[in-house]
Amino acid sequence: MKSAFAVFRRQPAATTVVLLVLLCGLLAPVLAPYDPAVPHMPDRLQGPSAVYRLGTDEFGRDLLSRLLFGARIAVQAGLIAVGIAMAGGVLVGLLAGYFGGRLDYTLSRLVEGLQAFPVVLLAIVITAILGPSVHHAMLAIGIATIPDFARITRGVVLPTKEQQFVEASRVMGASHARTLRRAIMPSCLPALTVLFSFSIANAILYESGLSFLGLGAQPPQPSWGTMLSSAKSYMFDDPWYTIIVGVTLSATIIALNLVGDAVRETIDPLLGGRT
Amino acid sequence: MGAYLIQRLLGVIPVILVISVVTFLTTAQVRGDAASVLLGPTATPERAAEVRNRLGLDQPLPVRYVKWMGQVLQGDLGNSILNRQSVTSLVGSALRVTLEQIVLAMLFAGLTALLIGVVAAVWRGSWIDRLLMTVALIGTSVPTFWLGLVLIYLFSVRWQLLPPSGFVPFTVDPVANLKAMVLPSFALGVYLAGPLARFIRSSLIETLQTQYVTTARAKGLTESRVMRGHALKNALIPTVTFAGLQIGGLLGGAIVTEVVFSLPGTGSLALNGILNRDFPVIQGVVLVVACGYVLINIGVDCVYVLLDPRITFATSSS
Repeated sequence: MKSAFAVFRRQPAATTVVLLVLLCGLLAPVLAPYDPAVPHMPDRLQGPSAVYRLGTDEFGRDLLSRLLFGARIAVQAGLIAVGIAMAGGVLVGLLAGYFGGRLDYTLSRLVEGLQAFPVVLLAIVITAILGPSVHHAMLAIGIATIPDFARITRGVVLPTKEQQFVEASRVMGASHARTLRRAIMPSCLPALTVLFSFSIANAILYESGLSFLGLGAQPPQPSWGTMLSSAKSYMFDDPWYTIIVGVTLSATIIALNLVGDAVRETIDPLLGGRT
Repeated sequence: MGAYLIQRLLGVIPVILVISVVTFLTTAQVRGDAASVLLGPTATPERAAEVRNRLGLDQPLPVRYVKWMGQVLQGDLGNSILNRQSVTSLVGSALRVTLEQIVLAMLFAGLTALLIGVVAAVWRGSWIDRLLMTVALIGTSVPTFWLGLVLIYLFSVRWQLLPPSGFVPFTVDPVANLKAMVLPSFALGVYLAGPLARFIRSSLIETLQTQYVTTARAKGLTESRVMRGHALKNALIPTVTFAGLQIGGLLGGAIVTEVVFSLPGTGSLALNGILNRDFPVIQGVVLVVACGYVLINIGVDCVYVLLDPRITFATSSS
């Protein structure tokens, strides 16, 4: 809690933006003035007005409502994808680092193999099998991010397992599982927290990118990526549409990265003290 | 160096095997119904069985994998289901576009990042440093596809300086080729320049605190000679590795810019493959790009070893 305040003090504006996006995502159904999916053709492609605060899209749908629901998809994508990456990566990293030997070799090769697939490429593979959907995009992003978490975890476990408190835990009769959980895991947390905050930004960036390519959210789902993809066709006559969506997305990512920086700066002295 | 290279190449075999199995399995699962794709929904079961037999789809998976690998090792990635073209040549010509884009993007990103990184490191802690690092962070955060759209809007629609799309091979018309590549490469380069500039800055700051830099200063060298002759060179060694690690991200980013700027690269090829359920094409792109990425990483490691005499071949391979 104390470090959360430290992060806020370092980046008050960015933290506020991130919290705002989170809140919009959670409360989208309450906050949105209109249904984001119901077309209203007479009002198509309007600029901001008293009726439509941020204007309308090519089907006359309220952009503000769609942006709010887009925040919901972005928040979901960030949390689910990074959740998958963290669960898989931490497990692999702990096992590889702690047990070493052949298991380490095998897992490391698997991680390297996985790393050879950039997110978009992996998303192409997964879409080819399962078909396009925003959940498959989240899965692809999550799997593609596993190597980051696996490598960081393994990197911390390797020196930590030589420490005396780990040995003490084993000598006292703790099982491998308990030693990993109680003695080794806590040492990994600072590094994982930093990676977590940057990964969220990347996951949201990738989700919008995949949705833009048609490999993620499908219309009429209001992902920021799909919105930009349809805004593209009206860019010449109605640049406002592209600008408002693009700026929302970019501001979210910038804010998340700034918060990531602040998290790192807050946590890094702790990291330095540990090793 | 030779022994190191061989060792690295041997080490990569299991990784390539993992990649090939993943690629094969994923598309093999779906190719089971390639018969029904070819024949349409009205196919009789007998006819479907016949087609499966002809395509070799009724054999067990391991047999099909070995057969497929045998062909791949001979450079045969099969034929496109859609238009019967050889996938090897399709991927080959698409790869040229993607690689050109990546090379141009790296050039742009490298030069920009070097400039930003050095200036920020020299005046670290000042407002210039903070300003440049904020710019770098914004550069990384702005989605490549949106930046691409904005660039098209400004340079092609508003000012009409550059074509919004339309690829011409370099060998046909170098000027038209570069004109078509400037915007996509810039959009892609911005994505890399941010993290690269941050990395160069911190690497340089670290180097400036080493004892040999203090010695060089004590000898009475000017600050710019210290920078050029001593600090920069050493700070750039880890940067090479860092830049190499970003190539995977660039490959993914290139897929996006190719779609935005309608370039006939690997990304467009793979996406069309998905639209048409053309699995040999998807398989070909995925296999070639993934293996290419692994090999590029080995190349980067070798450059690293060549640049830094402190790393001996034995320790760096462990």
